[in-house]
Amino acid sequence: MLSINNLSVEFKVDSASKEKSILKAVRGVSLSIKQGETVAVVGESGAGKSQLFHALMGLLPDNGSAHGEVDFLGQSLLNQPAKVLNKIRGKDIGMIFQDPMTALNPYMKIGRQLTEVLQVHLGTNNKEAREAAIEMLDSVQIKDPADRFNSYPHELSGGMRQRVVIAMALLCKPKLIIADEPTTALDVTVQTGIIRLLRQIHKTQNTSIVLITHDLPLVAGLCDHVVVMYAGRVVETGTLEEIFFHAKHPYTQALLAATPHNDSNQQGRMQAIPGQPPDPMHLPSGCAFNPRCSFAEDNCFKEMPEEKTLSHTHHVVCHMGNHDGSEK
Amino acid sequence: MSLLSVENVSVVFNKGKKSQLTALNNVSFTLDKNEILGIVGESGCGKSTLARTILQLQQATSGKVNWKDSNIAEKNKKQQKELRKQIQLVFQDPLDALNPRMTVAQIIAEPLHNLMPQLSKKVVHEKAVEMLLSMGLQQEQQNRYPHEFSGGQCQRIGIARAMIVEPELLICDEPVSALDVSIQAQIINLLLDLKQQTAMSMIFISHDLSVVRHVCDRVLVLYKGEVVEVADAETLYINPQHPYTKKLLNAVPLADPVKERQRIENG
Repeated sequence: MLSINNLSVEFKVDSASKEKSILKAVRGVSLSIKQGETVAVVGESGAGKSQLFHALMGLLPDNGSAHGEVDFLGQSLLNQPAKVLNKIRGKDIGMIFQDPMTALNPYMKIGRQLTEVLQVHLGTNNKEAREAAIEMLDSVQIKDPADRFNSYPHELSGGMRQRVVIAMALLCKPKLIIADEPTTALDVTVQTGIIRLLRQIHKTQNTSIVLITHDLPLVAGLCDHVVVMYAGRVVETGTLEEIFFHAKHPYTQALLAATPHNDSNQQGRMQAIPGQPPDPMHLPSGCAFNPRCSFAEDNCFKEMPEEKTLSHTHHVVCHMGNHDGSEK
Repeated sequence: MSLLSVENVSVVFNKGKKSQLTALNNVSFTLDKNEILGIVGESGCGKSTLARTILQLQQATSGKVNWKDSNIAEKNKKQQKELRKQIQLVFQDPLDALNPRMTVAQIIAEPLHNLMPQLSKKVVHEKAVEMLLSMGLQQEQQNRYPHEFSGGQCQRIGIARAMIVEPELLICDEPVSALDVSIQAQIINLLLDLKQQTAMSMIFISHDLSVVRHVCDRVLVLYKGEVVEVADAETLYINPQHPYTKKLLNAVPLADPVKERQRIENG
């Protein structure tokens, strides 16, 4: 359904010298998402995971540019004028952003914000739009939807607001939902409800979902496929089981080890990944993970590793593709 | 004698003319030397208000906070200042908590200027650099500004600033919730090492129960301003008593796909 081929995202940034320098946030990413798939894009901040999807939705700031090919249901998406994108954004592709307060217009009642989507995309009349919006609020488990329809965003709690944002993304029955850290700003007790809701939508409407996150436990609950990104590149892809139980890339393994597991005997020190994520302006030569990798060899500092295929779903980009993980 | 004891503290905010909001209701607990106490609960349960009350940034409506057996509200200005040296705070948003116009060395040294003005400039600078190094930062970085550092590094600077006066109690208000998983573990390890080296106590406020389990000796669960359960960390996690604690524990996502799927389906 969605195929991304060799997508790069660059930003022109100010630097010490007079000429603007180029920051490469995403460096040649290819991935494809089939109808009805749930895919997680996992990585640290600065890994380029959000920029990748902002680029294909045409949401890059003025100093950003994207190159490559993106195909959505046979239509090219990348660098299309807003006129073309506006027919797709919000209709076929719904987006859920991290912070529900900034995603909603604080001056507008949520009802108006919801019906607007239907009126713009489907030309629904006022009365029907109102009915559909209230029905949708009900289906995302907002109590008293008819009352809430007339609320302003600040009158709702964080979890409620995120449900409104999800309702808005769902109104036109999109084929693909891109959820960028949808639960990061929310309490633990609310998180589960949101994940459960997304899972239910996926099951009942066969919607494809892309979950962008740095939180592996969330992935475990929702997604079937996992894409791990590091410093603007995909380093490992696989099914949920392949990534959680048979991870081959040292970064994926370290990320799993650093995630608190909430088991017994989990007192004291945690397994940290040493060092910092690399500065995208000064990436290390060879494999970008080499300064933090405990398995790095000479080769890792010289050459960029090639992608290795381990099964038809499991791919890893590492020189040591055959080393056995210390974890699991 | 416990280091800190909070006795029946309530904090009530006036909301308009008629309504009141009880942020803390009759909260009591004690903290021993070299102990790490976790405070968990949802947003709005009063976690941060509790921290602010201990630090005297918020007055308790009733009840008292005792530091080494004397009520901190009754201390005079000089004693209050002395208390600042003994209780320090690490904030949630690492970049927000640092003055953008000061260099790292200045930021780390600032508490010394305020709390120990008798020290010479040279000693202050030496101490700041020493602190910088012990936090795993480089000496060359001392003249840089906060925006040149990543979130994890900023949090290290924030911790260095708190530790430079050698506090006996460090209050950490969500110290890792703004950080990436890989960096989160580094900061947790740093805090645990500091606790070992200096024998200080810590209050660790967090909504992430799996992190709290790693760090804390005892855990206090707050719900709508009331303490619903206090227990040893292991006891609380294995055998929670209060229904709210159970609900909270059940809401923690698990890093195991099979168990997590079951949790999502069943809950």
